[in-house]
Amino acid sequence: MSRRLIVSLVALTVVAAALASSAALGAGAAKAPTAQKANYTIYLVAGIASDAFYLTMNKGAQAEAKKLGNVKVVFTGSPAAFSPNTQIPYLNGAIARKPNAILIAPTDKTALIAPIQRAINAGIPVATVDTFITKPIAFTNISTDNLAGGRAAADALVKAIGGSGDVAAISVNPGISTTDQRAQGFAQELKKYPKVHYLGIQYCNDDQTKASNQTSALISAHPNLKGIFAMNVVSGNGVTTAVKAKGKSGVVKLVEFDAGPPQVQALKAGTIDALVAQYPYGIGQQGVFEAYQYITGHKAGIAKHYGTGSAIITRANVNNPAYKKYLYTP
Amino acid sequence: MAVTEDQSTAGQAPQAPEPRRGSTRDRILGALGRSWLFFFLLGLVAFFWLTTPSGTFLTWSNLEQIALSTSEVILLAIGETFVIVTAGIDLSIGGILFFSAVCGGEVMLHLSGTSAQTINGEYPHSAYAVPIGIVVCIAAGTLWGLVNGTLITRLRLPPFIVTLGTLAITLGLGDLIDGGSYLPAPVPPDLTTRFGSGKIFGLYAPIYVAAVFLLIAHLFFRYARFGRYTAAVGSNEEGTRRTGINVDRHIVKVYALAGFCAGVAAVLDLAIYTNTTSVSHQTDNLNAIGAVVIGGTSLFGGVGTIIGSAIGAFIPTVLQNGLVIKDVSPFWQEVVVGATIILAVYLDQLRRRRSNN
Repeated sequence: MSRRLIVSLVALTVVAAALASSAALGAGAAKAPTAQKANYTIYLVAGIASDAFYLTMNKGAQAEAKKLGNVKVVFTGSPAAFSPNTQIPYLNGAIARKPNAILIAPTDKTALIAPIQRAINAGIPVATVDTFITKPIAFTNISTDNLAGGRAAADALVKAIGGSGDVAAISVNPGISTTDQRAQGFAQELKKYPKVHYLGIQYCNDDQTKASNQTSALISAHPNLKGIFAMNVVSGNGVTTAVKAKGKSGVVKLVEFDAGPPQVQALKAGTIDALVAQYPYGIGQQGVFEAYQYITGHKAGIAKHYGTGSAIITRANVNNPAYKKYLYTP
Repeated sequence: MAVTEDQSTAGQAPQAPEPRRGSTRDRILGALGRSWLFFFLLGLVAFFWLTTPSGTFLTWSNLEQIALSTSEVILLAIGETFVIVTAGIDLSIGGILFFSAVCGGEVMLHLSGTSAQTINGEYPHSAYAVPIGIVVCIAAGTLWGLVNGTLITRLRLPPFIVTLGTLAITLGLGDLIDGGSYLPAPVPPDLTTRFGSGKIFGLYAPIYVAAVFLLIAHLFFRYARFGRYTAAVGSNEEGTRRTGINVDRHIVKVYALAGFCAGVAAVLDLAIYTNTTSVSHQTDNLNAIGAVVIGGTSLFGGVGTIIGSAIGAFIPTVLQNGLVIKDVSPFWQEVVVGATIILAVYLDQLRRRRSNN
């Protein structure tokens, strides 16, 4: 009796696993390319799959693929965390599929060098989007000009506070290329405004509570504090909480990076005064376009780096259709 | 295992006793029943082989990559198996790994050259800096394991609480040491290129490390006194104490072993990923415990298998890799992996209940 049960259990588990996976897949398995025109597959490996920034990037990539007609873009990446430990298994899966090209947002400047090199050795051209690696093996890099973004944030904040007063910045961690460049651009641009006093930058380790505590301390210590630049969504949330709790809404102005749906809502509600929106949709579009150029033999015209712009979104222009493309739409 | 009385046959003529010595056929089927998990894994591999385009899933390079990315979890699962078999639990291994990696990494960088040199990618003294860093990693891990074991036995607190606390402490201390982000520079290529991505006989070096540890741990667990004491403590702590075995000291040793494994895993982590952050290790404990539980070790202690934990470590990584190759959305993947874990553990429980009757 138990023998039969064991054998049937084994069979059951294999069948169950197969069924469970098939049921979850829907139209999972890829089809062979059609004979008429060459179909190209490009994999987009996000830094973290559950982030409005990368989901918007995917939208742009899909739009460009549709425009080109014979390109399929597959979006993948870990939904759990922005880290090389979680990203590399997804990259491995993409490499095993042998696509025509891979677009990847590396989660670490050095940890991804060996895996990306492996993809290139396997004959798959790789372009980096958003972040970069320190070895120039990707055929191109497309990212926001974060220096310019920082500068634009400085201009927007000075405008919001009326040209004079104390300002401070809250960033994530020292060592992340994107936020470091934003901080650099911000500090540089502030030098143009002699009536504005820069109190310096603090790091909140991507912890909202820490950002909130740091903001409270700043408000208590500096009665002339007029504005804060929060360099990512998490720090922005912490700053907003503290400003409200201290009763300084409207007195302390806030400029924040990234324009996801919650940030846009906060902008319209008045808790944030300006957003520095990157253009992930454009990065996705251009990534697919450049990859297509590379695959179809037009390698010569591709530059090593493309900087995409950022836009300052304020209450005045948030509903302006010209600025709509900058809002992140996961 | 408790002895069950069969009430229904009470009062009837006594049956002929079952032959104690198992026949070969019974032994084979018994082994088959115990290793059904291995067949489950093979079934998964076969499923993905058949349902993906040829030359994608079942290639040497792809399987090798799966093994490489599972090697760290296997090491953690080995230490965790010993802990769980004592009816304890260690939630802090991810934090211990991170702390050890930070300590070892910082030592490697400081000894390899001046900060100006290392940031520019030069490591003039890495030849002796790397081995010293490796020793520091392993020592730091073992030390925290000892702390865990000592706190649990001296303070008489539940392991869940103690290791939850040391998880937070180690993650926090690690972040304090490296300023909350990455190490100032990647670790020397002597460790990363020559070992982490280095190949011996065509296979990545870290895979060998995990395999060797697996073999030694399996032999230790099954045949050495240490392993038998561990199972004894887990199945009946008070009874074991009364046979004269120093249970407290053994528990400290077991948690120290888990810390040691985390230290070795830290070396692999630095070698494979060249750097480390606390973000990457937040859920290491769940991955390791999941591997151990899927592998057939009981959370109540007393029963366990090292090889099972290794197979349990492979099931989620094989699933994830196969589903990516099948173009399944990453969100569906999380659902499928979770469902498969529940299925595997449920079937194991069924089998266990049946074989106990």
